[in-house]
Amino acid sequence: MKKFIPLIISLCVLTTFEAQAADDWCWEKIDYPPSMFGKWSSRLRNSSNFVEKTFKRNADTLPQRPAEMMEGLAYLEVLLNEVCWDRHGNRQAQKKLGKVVLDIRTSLGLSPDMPRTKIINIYWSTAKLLSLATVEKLEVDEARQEGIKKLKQLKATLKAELKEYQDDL
Amino acid sequence: MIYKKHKSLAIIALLVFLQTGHGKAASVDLRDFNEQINEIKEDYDFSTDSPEFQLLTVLEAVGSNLTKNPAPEVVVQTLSVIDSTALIEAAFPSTAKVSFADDFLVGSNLSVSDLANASFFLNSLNAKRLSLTTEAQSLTLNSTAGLGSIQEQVFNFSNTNPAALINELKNAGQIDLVQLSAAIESEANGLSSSIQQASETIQQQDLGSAAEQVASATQTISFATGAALAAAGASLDQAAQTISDAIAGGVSMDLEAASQGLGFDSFSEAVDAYNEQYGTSYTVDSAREALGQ
Repeated sequence: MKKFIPLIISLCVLTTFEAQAADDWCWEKIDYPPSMFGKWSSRLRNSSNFVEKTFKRNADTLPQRPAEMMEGLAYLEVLLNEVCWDRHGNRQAQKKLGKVVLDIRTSLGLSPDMPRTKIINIYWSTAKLLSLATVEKLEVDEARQEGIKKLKQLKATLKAELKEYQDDL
Repeated sequence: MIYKKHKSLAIIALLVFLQTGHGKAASVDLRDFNEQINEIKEDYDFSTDSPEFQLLTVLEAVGSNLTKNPAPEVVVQTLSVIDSTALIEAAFPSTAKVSFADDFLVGSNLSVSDLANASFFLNSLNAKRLSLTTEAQSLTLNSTAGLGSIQEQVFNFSNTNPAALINELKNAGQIDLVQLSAAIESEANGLSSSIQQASETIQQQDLGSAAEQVASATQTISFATGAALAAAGASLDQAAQTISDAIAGGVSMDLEAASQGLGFDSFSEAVDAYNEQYGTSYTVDSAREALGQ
């Protein structure tokens, strides 16, 4: 029995890493919408900047830019794909970003299993459609807006905690 | 000898246990949530009939109802109640009014594939709304763990009749922008030929008949497709609002949380680290320039 222990331990470790490597390869070949990237542009750089600009710097005024919001979701999918490219890169980053992306899909009624190309094209086409909209900016009391933002954060905190618990189960 | 054998087996069992990911002791930690509630209560005095007060009341009730180790089905039901608070949020003042003109598709130059993709998205969004409302309604009837009364409160606060809403969503029908666009194109051709006829009539000095022909042609387009266009427009208004709620309610925060979990202070810092890793010398200004802003 004793002489088999190192072998069993090695097999356990090996199967763990093998299975993880196969499961975590999250990169997909994508056919991008023609107008999404220029010929020489860096997909990682452009997607990360668009996501940063849309969901971070301009997050408070998102409702005023519905088309950009959809484009942002398309670039977020690209960003995940680019982060996934490095097979031996930061797995935790890939997993966390992947979870955000899949949660968004689910909340919008789209399948988590849908190929990334299809999802990107759906977001991109809907952005084009939304660009036909007329957007009228409305004035809202700043203090009230701040209170609403806090409440939305509160809701997001509760959801995040429950989802984390769900993942740990 | 027996002890040694048992020790070996214990090591193997521990390895298998850890490998299958059962080593964590999961529990719901609401300290951060409760702290935020206290801060909000200190900083804001929402009037009792405001949607802000209603949302806070519901979220607080949901938090109080949670135990440290809720059963998986209770977690699913609780998330469903939280999602349904979008009905209360619909009464929040909006910073933008998004609307589509009655003839928004006419001359839009969207490809068939764009129209098919957007239709798919709008229908998926509607299906999601339907499933969320159905789930929420069933909670008021069959929920365990006291969630039924909280769900009932969400419906009362938002003046929602779930059965009526479900009926409305079921009867909404599928949106087919491809078909709609084809109808517009075909009618636009009809209109063009009618106007051509009218022009010939004008040349024949019969202005009364010409006016009649033009009126009849334009009426054809507004009656045949107007209702469908208006329905699609309304769905798009709704879609824009839903997308905005979904994103404002979590994406920015989720991205931020993801970056902090990785040891960065913010998402921008995480992005910078990636840029560095890939050897790019990007600055905010050059990106803005590259993105044409």
